[in-house]
Amino acid sequence: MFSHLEEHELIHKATCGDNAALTLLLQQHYAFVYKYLLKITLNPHMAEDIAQETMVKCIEKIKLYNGKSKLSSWLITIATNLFIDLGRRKKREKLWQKQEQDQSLRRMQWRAGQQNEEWPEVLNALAELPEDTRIPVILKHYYGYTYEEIGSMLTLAEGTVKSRVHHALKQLRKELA
Amino acid sequence: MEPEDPKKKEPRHDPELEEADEDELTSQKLQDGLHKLDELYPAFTPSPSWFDQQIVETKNSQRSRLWGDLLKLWLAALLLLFVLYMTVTAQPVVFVTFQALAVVAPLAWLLIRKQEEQHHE
Repeated sequence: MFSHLEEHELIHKATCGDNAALTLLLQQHYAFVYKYLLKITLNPHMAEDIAQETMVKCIEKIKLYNGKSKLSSWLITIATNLFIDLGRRKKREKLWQKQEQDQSLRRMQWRAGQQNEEWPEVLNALAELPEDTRIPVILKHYYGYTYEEIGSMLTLAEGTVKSRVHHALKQLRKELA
Repeated sequence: MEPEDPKKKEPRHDPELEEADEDELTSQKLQDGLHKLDELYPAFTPSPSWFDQQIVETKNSQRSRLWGDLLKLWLAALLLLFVLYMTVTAQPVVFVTFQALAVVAPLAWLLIRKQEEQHHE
């Protein structure tokens, strides 16, 4: 992992058009983006596709990155927007999308069984949450972002984020009971 | 130190505290579950050459998109200039009328809007 200074230097070089610096930055953050997407999509194939798309978007927009937030937070914002856009495009195929998610969950459970690993029930409960509450609860309770940071990532008011996280936890408790 | 007798412990009945405890427990379960997911599905970062290739391809397509947009803009500007030139040389009266309309129409629109706002107040 790069130190803060090294990363800052690399970002500066990348925004000035240094391809090698951009490659290093993207390579360093790819796993982080993929793991985040895996958590919000609960679908490894979709997570990989969107992670690659996020990298392309980052190449296109790196000159617009102003350094106000951490690069990882900026990438999370891009990845989330791509995931939400994909959901909107597939709105007409909502039923098909749900079936695909169920199938993906079943495949993941089966694979965990094959590896003699226990499948956490909380992931099934998480899959039942709509994405507008699933994303904030993961950002808050797994990544530890503040409500304000989540609000600026998802372009939502702080109060809205708080209420969505609260509802998500309530729903998870209900599902796990 | 003697261990505390669990029977002596008074039960907590504060619903807010109970909810906070339950939230913490759910949050812990969520964190554990997501950690497990990371273990089950590790990330495979593509090779540096993949990133290099993506950078070159994206920058090339961005450049060609930019040239395409510039070309469209130049063509539109040329067409507009051509139409204006033709109007000035062939029908100067129409040209002057259009110029006058371009000044008067926005002013008239602004005045009407202002009057409507005053009327609503």
